[in-house]
Parts: sequence; C-alpha cells; structure tokens
Amino acid sequence: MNLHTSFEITETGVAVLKLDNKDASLNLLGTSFLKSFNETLTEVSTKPHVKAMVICSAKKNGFIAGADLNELAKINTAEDAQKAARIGQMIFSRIADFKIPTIAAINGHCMGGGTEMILACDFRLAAKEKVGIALPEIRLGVFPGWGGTQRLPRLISLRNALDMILTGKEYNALKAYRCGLVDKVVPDDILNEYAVQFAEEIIRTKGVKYIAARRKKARGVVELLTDKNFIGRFIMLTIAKQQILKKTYGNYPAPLLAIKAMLRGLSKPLEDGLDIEARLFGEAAATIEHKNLLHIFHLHERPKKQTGVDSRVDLIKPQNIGVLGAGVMGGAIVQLLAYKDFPVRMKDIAGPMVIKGLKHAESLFDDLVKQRRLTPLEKQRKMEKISGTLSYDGFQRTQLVIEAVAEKMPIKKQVLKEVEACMQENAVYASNTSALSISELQAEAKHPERICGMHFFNPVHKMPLVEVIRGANTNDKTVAIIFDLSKKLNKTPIVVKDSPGFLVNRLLGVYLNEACLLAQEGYDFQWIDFIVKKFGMPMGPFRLIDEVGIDIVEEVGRILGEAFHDRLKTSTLPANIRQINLLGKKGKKGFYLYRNNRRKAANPYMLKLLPGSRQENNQQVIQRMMYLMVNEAARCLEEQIISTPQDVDTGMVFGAGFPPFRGGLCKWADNVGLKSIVETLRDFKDLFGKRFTPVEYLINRKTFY
Amino acid sequence: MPRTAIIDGVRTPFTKFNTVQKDIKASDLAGYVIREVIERTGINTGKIDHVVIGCGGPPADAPNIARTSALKAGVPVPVPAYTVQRNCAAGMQALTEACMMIQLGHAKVVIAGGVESMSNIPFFLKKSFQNKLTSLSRAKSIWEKLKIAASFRPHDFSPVIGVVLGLTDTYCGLNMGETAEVLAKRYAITRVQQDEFAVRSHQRVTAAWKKGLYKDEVMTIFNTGGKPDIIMEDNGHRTDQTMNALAKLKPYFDRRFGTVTPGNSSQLTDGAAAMLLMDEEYARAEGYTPKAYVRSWGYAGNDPSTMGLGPAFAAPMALDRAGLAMKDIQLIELNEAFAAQVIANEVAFSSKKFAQENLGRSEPIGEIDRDILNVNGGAIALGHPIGASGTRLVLTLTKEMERRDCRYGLATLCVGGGQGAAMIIERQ
Repeated sequence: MNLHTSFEITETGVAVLKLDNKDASLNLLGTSFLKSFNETLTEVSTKPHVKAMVICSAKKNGFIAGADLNELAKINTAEDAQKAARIGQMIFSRIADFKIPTIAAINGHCMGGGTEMILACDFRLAAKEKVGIALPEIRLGVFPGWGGTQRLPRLISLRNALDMILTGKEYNALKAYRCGLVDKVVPDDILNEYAVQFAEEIIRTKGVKYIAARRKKARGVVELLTDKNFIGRFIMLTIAKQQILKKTYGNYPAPLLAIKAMLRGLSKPLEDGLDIEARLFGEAAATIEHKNLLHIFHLHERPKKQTGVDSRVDLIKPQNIGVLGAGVMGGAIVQLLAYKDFPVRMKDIAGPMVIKGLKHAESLFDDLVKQRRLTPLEKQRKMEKISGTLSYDGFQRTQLVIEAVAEKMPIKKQVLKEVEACMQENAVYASNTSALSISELQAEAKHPERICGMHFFNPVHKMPLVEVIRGANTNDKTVAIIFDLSKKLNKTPIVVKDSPGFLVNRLLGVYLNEACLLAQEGYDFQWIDFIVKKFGMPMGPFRLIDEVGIDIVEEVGRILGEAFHDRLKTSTLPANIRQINLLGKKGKKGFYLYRNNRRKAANPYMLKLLPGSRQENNQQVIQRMMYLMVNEAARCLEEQIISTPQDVDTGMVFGAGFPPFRGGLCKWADNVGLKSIVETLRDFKDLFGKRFTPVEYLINRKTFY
Repeated sequence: MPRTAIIDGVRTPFTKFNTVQKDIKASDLAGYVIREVIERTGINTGKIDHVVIGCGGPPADAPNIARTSALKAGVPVPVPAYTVQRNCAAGMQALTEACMMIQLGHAKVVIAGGVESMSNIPFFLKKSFQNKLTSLSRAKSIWEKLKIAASFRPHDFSPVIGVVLGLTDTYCGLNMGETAEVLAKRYAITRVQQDEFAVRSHQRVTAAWKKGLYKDEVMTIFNTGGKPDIIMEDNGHRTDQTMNALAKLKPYFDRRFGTVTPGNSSQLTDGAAAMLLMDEEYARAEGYTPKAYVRSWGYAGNDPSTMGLGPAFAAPMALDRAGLAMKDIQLIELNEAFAAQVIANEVAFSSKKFAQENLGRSEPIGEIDRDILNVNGGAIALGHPIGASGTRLVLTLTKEMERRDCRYGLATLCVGGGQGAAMIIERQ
C-alpha cells in the first residue's frame, strides 16, 4: 500500500491494482503518481501465487486523465523531455514484461499517457457508456512519447493508429472495440467485478480467443501491405506527411515527428523503436509551437475557473430560455441550447421565418446524426426542446432571453421594449450583436442593468468564442449568468467592455481594412490570401470578407471608421463593392465565385476592379496587417476594453482563427519581440500613414505577458 | 368540495383526414398542445400534478399516449400521466378525471386534453393472414414451409382499415352512420333538414374564422417534417357550401332509403386540444384569473343502435347535479356527429314522451334554442377527431361564454357504443 495506488489479491490469484491519485480529482500521471505506481508494480511482481493482474481506477469520473501538464510545461530542453519520456516508457514496459497476463479495466476517460499504459497491458476491457480513449498529445504540439507511436500501430494496424495519433480524436467504447483497441465492451456498472472474472478466464484459457479476434480485425489488404511491409508503410506515411504539409504549410512540427517515429521505429524491434520515439519526442517538446499550443490549451481551460466578474454573485439556472429572431443566428443559437437540453421558445414575426429557424436547427442536428454523434432518437428528443411562436406567449416563463434579430438598432430597441413588457423581474436579456452598442440599447430599457451583449460567431456550432459584452449599466449578475451559460454551451467566453467592434471585430476590422488598402495599392488579392493562409490563418482576408458577408464587413467598417476617424484610414473598397450588390458567399459572388457553398474561382469582375498583380515584400505585407492588429490589441488593453492579454489571445484564436501554433496574437507578438514591432510600426508610420503610430502601452512594455 | 377552475386551453388546427397533418404522429399533436398550454399560461412545469389525455384509438407505439406526449412537451419526469378512452367522449372524460382529482384533493394542477390522428390509425392484417404467418414462422422443415407459403390467397392480403373498424359498433353491428340513419327514420328527419343544418355549420365556422374568433384557441403548428410547414387554420369547413352541392351527394349508409350523407355527417379529422385546470383556491393564490369553472358533469348509457341520442340522457343528469334547468343554459356546444343526430336530440330534449319513457321524468328536459347552439359551427365543418372533440367542445364553449359574458354553458356529446356525456361550465 502506498500513496496513490493500492492492490488486493483475490482467492483466485488475481491482483487488482487500483489507481487513485490523492492529489487530484482525476488520475493525473505526475511524477509522484508514477513513482507510486512503479513501486506497486514491484510489490505485485514479488507476490507469489499471483496469476493475473487487473488495473482499474478508483475514480468514478475516469480512468486516467493523461500526463500532468504543469510538469510538462516545466520541461524546457529536448534532453529533459527525452528523459521524461524514457521514465514513462520504462514503467509501462515493466507491465508489458510481466509474465502473468495483465488486464486494463477502463471505466471512463483514458487520455494520453493513460492510453499508453493500457497499450502495455495484454488485454483491455471498456465500460460501454462512459469510455473515451484518445491520444490528444498532437493538439499540444507533441506526440505520444510513452510508447504510443510504437505499441498502437503494432496493436490496431498502422492505418488506424495514424488516425488516432494524428487527429487526437476520442474513440468511444464501441469504436475502440471495432478497431481492436479493446477486447471487450462491458456494462459500466459491473466493469470491475467482471474484470476479475475475465482475468480468471484468461488464466484458464490464456485469452487465445481474444487474441485471435484482435488479429482478425487488423487483417485487411491495406494492413497486409503496411504492417508487415516496409515499402507499404513508407508509402502510407509519405502520403500522410504530404496531406499534413498541404493542410498546415509545415507550421506544425509534431505530426511530422510522429510520422518519423513510426516510420523509423516500426521496422525495428520494440526496444529500439521506443528509443527513437523518446528522442523525437524530446525534439517536439522543445519546439516553440509546443509551448504555444500549451498556452492555447490553458486559454481554453481558463474560463472553467472564472465567473466573468470580480464580485461573488448567486447564479440563477435558467429553466426556460427565449430566443428572439429565427434567422441563421437565431436558429443556430436555438440548436445549441436544445443540444444542451435547455427548453427554448423561439419567436419571430412571421411564420416562414420561424420555420426557417426550426429547419436550420434541424439540419444542424441532422449533421450530428450523420456524423453518428447523435442517434435519430436523441435528435428527436432535442428537437422537441424547441417550440416556435409568433407571439410573446411563453416569454413570461423564461429566465433568460437571447435576442438575435436583424442588426438594426431601432429594431433591437423595439423588440427589447416589447419583450420587457412580459419578462420576469429577475430575468436577464442578452443581445447577439456583432457591432451595435449595448450601452445605447440600454438607454431606453426599463431595466438596463440586466442587459448585456452575447456575441456568437458565425457559424455558431463551429466557433468556440463568445464575447460577453458589458454595457455601461450592465450589472455583475447579468454578466456572470451569460458567462456561465456560455460555458454550459461548451463555448469559451471572454468579457469585453462595450465599445465599437468589441474586441474581435475591432481587431479584424483594422486587419481587413489594411488588406483592402493593400489591394487598392496594387497587390494581388489572391496572393495576399495565399500568404496569409501560409502564415497560418484559416483563410485569407478576402476569403474572410466573402465568408462574413460584404454588407456586414462594410457595416462594421463604417462603425469603426466613425469611431476611430482621427487615426484610421478607411478603405473605400467594401463600400464600392457593396454598391454593385456583391454580397460574398451568401450571394454566391464576392471576391470569389461560389457554387454549392464552395469557392470556385476568383470573380472576374473583381479581377477587373483590382487588376493589381504585385506579389512582393511578402514580409512587409504580413507585418502591415498583423502589426496593426497588435497595435490595436495594445490599445484595447490600454482602454481596458478587455483586462488581460489572455483575453486578446482567446478572442483571436477561438473567434478569428488566429493560428494556434503561434499561441495567439499577443503571445506571437511577444515571441517576435515588442521592441522590434514598435520599430517597424514607426517605419510604417512614415511610409504609410499615422494609423501605424505605436500606442504608449506597446512602447512602454517589454512583453504583453 | 374544491371547484375546478379552467385557466386556459388551446387546440391544434382541425384538419381533414390524410391532409396537412397526416404525417404528424398523434403523440406529437398532443405534445404540441400540452407544450402550448404551458407556454401560454406560463405555468411552472414543476407544479403540474398530473396529465390526462383522452384518445379513441391510442397508437400502437404509444398506448399510453398521455405519458409519451407529456414527456415530449417537456412536462417533468416525476409528473405522472395516463390515457382515458370513452370513444367520442374521451377528451371530456380527461377533463372529468382532472376535476375528480382536484375534488379529492389529489391534485391542484392538471393538464387534460384529447387527441386523435385518424390519418395514423393503422390498417390491420386479416386474421387468416395472421394465422398463416404464425404457422409459417413455426414451421420446421422446408417442405412444411413451402406448403404453408403456397396456401396464401389474394384475399388474405387485403388490409382491414382501422378507422372503419373503430367506427363500427361490434355489439349492435351498426356503424356510426347507420345509427344516425336509425334516428333519422325514427324521428322523420328529412334530408333537407339535415343538409340545412350542415350548411349552417359550414357557414358558422367560416364566419367565426373570418371574425377571428378561433384565432385565440387555435395554435400554429410548425411542421419541419412536411409540406405545408406552417399550419394555422382548420381546413374542414367549406366557405362556399350550398344546399345544391350537398343535395348531389348520395346517402352513404343506406343507399336505398337513407338520408345521411358524408355532407351532413362529421368529418374524419386530425387534431388535439388541451386545457390547464386548477383547484380554484390554488389558482387564485397563484395569481391566475380563471376563465370559467366546471360546475357538473354526467355520463349515461343508452341503446348502442341509437347512440346519437346520448346527450338527451347525459345532459339532464348534469343539469340535475348542477341544480339547473335548460332555461338557465345560455350557450350550448352539442357535438355534431351527424346532423340527423343533432336534430333528433332537439326533438328528444323538448319531448314529454321521451322524458317519461326514458328518463322517468314527467316534464321534458327543455328546448334546445338554436340561437345558442353551436354558434361557431361544429364537427360537420370542423371535423371530429374522436378523442379531441370532448376537450374542443369545452374549450370553444369557454371562449365563447367569455365573449358573450354568459353564466352557464353546456357541452355535450353522443358516444359510439351508446353513451352520452355532458358537462356544465359556469363563469362566476
């Protein structure tokens, strides 16, 4: 018996080893835990009469949550990382070397190092409902370094292993069973009892049946060509590498290193493979991309501990939620709420609008059914959470109203006035707007304190960010409720003070404006899109304008232009294009032409309008757009629109797709060096105008963080 | 004893068999009205004590349709629900159950209603087909299987239509229309009398929709699963119904001597209705303003072959229990199963002989004044979704009593199988 792990031996000779990290609510594989686990392994191995070992978790909420990221963050050099990998590998290899059969009884989430532990066992059992198995290391800019890249392909075939390791996606019990990752799926409630029975069966039969079944699953034509054949393997890994390069422009080193580890290691005995894996893991862990992605992970986890306000407030749990407006945003918000099982009432002024909203929600659910993330029955149950209406009937029983009507202040004010007449005293009201002032909306409200903004990003089901907009009169309770709701909807919220463009659109606004100015200066807009994509943005600025809609970009641009007219040179491009009724993707024509929601080619009309073909000063063009955003972010911090650089990075990564491997806008600026950015901005100011004047905040600081 | 307060109610549009609501399951129709009643009244769902739904032919996939639809509507899991069946009076029986629970003190808040999706009543297999199929599945040798397979005949495959089955009284062997023919002949009710009544029904429903009187009690159905996707109005009434057009129809139930045609009978229809009922004191304490109260009710049995006279047996019962006479009633909703049947009741209500022979009373029940009868039309134009009609009558009655500021109103129906149902509503 020691700190984190204990074991008992049954009369039948089965040692049952229980994992129970006493320092955390989950089983995290920190140094002290691993040490304790290692000692217990030694103890078990010295006991006579033990004929099999079962490893199970004493935690109700999962098996193993993975490595301790705080410890991972402290590792700075490739040598240290390699050492850490070796230690884990050594312990897990001890399980693999046990003479007696070893069985993992997986009761819930099994992540990263946990997955590598079960791979070292001889057999794996999974609880049917709660199990999720994944190797998410790739998302943190590293790859499995405790044997994962070597043992997984040997167990479930290279093809399946690539899918798990390169995407980091989670396999449920059934999926894990289908590919041979687990040997049996067991009802959750009897898992641990059954594991002992199973061990007894293995003692009797040596598990021949299960090993044969596993072999059968990993025996297709592709597997035959890749798993036992170096050339086949080489071809498959080369294709995988090319796909990754095409998608990431080589910005992410970890998947390439993982592929390398598999390519080299799988041709050698396991021992040598592990050596190679540890060395390459060290390389990956020392990259700046890894540090940046770790930073992103922390940004993602950050809201979990936050409430969005400084004071302590009692949250109300909304029982019923009303949504006003059944357009694309309204429909998507309703779907999101229903997905999380909130009863929703959706109102619009016309029947055809309501039905459109309902159908939009249904189509989003249908997509989930197609992806097998919902059963048709679950979809039905969730659709039933939504009811449509043309009147305010039902709004008297909502504790929360989300408004998503057209982006026109008079309409928003009218709707607010109408619904306030029937809302409960303590209900809160959130307006989904991308640019209109919440403080202005509050001006005529009966209860301005309960009103705030809730800026979802389009498409709602994909974009993780929610900007919670705090108006001049919004109280803490309202902010906290909307912040909490955003978290419940699996979104990443940041609190932003009401000001033109809020945070993300303000930064994107100056960026898109600069892109338009560049195009007007004669730069080829398709080329700009290309180099920005190479920089790591999910799409270039002109593609983004099409995506958002030229009308909306123009509207936001106008608002920003009015607010910052003293320093911003507003490009005339969006207004010019809008005049000729180009809308962007939703109208099938913008900078590009679209068919079936896919980009086809550059719009010939735009090529005529912007005939520029300059493709030069690659670095300067990027800097003009990006540094302007950095400068604007500094100004936002100076004006206390948001409170920390984390807010900026959260907003830019989760709301605007700023490349995660760069760690976010501020993190990236820190890596570049604020001093050099300020200098460049000063040069740009002389060359291109006063909008590049660096702000005090930037001049006075060495780093954002 | 506590009195039952009617807080509010709502119904779906009543739409003809195999038209716009044909692809909506009965449990969804009922779910929609339950949810809408909750939304409109703003009742905290945690306060609901029970849900009762009447249904003539509960669907095979939801035999206790009340429970299925309540859960679909978002009624919390701990709230129990059950389904009642009294054929055409199922929807009224549901209301009665609620009243009884409230009077017993077993409940303070009940959602009660009724539903029928006649479009979804299934076709059945013939018994001969069923027998052969069962023996086929039990057969062991291939030879035996082939032998049974060869014994199927074309007539084995012809379906048995559930709706027809349900509208035929097994006991007396007559279908509902035939019982109306019996009444027409017994009381010498002419074809013209019946057709006139039918035209009146269509005209009244048309006028009521034109004046927007039904707008308040009918909810909008947003149907994402079919076309049209927005269903806002009843579709059974014909705005231009004429005597001439009706005269062209052939008698359906007695082709040689009959007078009952599809035109002067109620229609096969899909629809649902639900109401929120509360203990009166509780309603006041919670700040609700009841629209009306249930004063009394009565159910009576009569000869299945003249089931249409049901109201003449049940109404006096309800009146006696209320201590009222027909002259006190200011508004009547009498379900229009058949024009002949409504007219037969008019005769019976005012007949001394009927009262003496059938009710053991010396005096007639009292005149049915046409001016206060089905003022906004009835089932001939709106349709008669079996399980929903009982609730619909009380709902329509309550709304119109409010508009006319009436004190007492009567809702009554005849019930297939030989029964009558009646309920008296008061507004004070």
